[in-house]
Amino acid sequence: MSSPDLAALLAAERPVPRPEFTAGLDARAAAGFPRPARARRAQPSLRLPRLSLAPALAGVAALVVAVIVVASTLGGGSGSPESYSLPARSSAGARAGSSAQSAPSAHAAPAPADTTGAAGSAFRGRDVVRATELTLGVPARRMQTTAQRVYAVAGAFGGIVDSSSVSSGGAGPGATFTLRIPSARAPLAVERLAGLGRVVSQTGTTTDVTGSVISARERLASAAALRSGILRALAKASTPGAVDALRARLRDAERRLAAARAQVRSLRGQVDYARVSLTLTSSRAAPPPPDRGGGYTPADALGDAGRILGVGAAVGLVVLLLALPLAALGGLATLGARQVRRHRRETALGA
Amino acid sequence: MNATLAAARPAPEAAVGALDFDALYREARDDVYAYVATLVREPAAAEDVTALAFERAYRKRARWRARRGTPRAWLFGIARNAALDELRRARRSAALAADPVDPAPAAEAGYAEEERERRLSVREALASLSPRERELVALRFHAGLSHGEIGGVLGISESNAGTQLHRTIQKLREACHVQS
Repeated sequence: MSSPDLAALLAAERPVPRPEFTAGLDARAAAGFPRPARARRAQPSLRLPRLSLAPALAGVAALVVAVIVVASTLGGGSGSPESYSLPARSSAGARAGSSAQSAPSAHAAPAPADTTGAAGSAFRGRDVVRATELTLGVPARRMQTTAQRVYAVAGAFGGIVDSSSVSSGGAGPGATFTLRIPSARAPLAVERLAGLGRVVSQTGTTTDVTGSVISARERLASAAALRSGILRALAKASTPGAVDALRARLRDAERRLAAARAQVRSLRGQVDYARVSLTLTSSRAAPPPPDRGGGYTPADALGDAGRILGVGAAVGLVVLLLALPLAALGGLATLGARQVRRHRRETALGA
Repeated sequence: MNATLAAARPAPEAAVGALDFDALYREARDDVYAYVATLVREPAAAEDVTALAFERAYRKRARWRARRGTPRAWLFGIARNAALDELRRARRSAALAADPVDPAPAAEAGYAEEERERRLSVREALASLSPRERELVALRFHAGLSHGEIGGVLGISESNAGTQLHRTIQKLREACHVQS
């Protein structure tokens, strides 16, 4: 059988459509293949999510993650206020200031040891000793006025200036303060103090002394009970020897009682007042703090603009870094789905 | 359609520039039906799939690009996917091994006995082919696609399509000789 013969015979085996079918299909083609009414409504709602929802969701997810990452990165900086370390069972290193001017002043009534400040929720109902070390950069020419403002802030919050040292002349103007602020108001006071200059460093520590307070109270109660018992025994003593022995024991019990009272008082003082060690250092480049009334200068605007641009660039970079692998994964998934669909079709033909 | 081994159908004018869907439809309507009917082996299903293929092609006509193949290859690719989907949906793949549809039994009444035997021989030889081989025959001799277009439809190279088609024709020819 020759090739033309075979081709002609194969062409003769060609299926031919019914005239009714071709006429109907021609009519539909002329009308632009109109869909049934129900299908026309259903089709867009099915297509829209497939085409646009997935990339949109991926973009939103990448943006959210980027914002969270950038916010956490920026928020963890050394200059951020309220950076109490939790849990902090380390001792608060109070600075022993070499005080040229010792100034116990501005004493106010003790405030109750409420833990409503930073980390308050973690220590609610506990006895906590707080300490903050704050270092501010202040222009040398403003050292004196800033020191005065430190006193004012301490007084405004009912605090005590335990010690202070201010030197405005010479090669290294600076100041150190050791403050005690009522614990409930300490976070706000620290924030106000931080606003007096450029924050160079800030460290907050908290120490839970609940166990020590309970022990001290128990020792106090025990000493008081011992003293009462000795006093009752002394009242019943009849011989001089017994009286002398009981008096000796009473003196010892009273010493213990006084020591226990002092310890409880000391602990309560530490709990009721947060210790703030403030250091002012000379900084020519330090910008004036916003609450000094210096106004919003073009330099401030330039700095803010630079910071905003930096944050925007960081967000964009993170979005890009997140979007690229997501897009790659999406592309691979699409390719995989296409291959699977193709394989299934070929299987249908070959089965 | 007059399909021969020597002369392949020339590429339509719409291969360059925008797709002339009306011309493509007029030119390929019966070819698409013939190809689809060979795949699905059932006239009613073939009509449904043919209509669906043209409807899909009409909806996607803006996506056709000349650099990705001729309009006919693009259209037959759509028709192929629709036919395979139909086969999967209806689990009709077993029907591919069934007897081929007799296109026009009444028309054979007037043929000479020798001619009728030759046609029967070819029909039985076609039935002995695998589904993929019958598809190649349908694309080439029923739809008149070139090797390049067949490669585009099946996702293989032009030379591979030519090789597979050559082997299929050889197999078909041998089957015809055995039966005759």
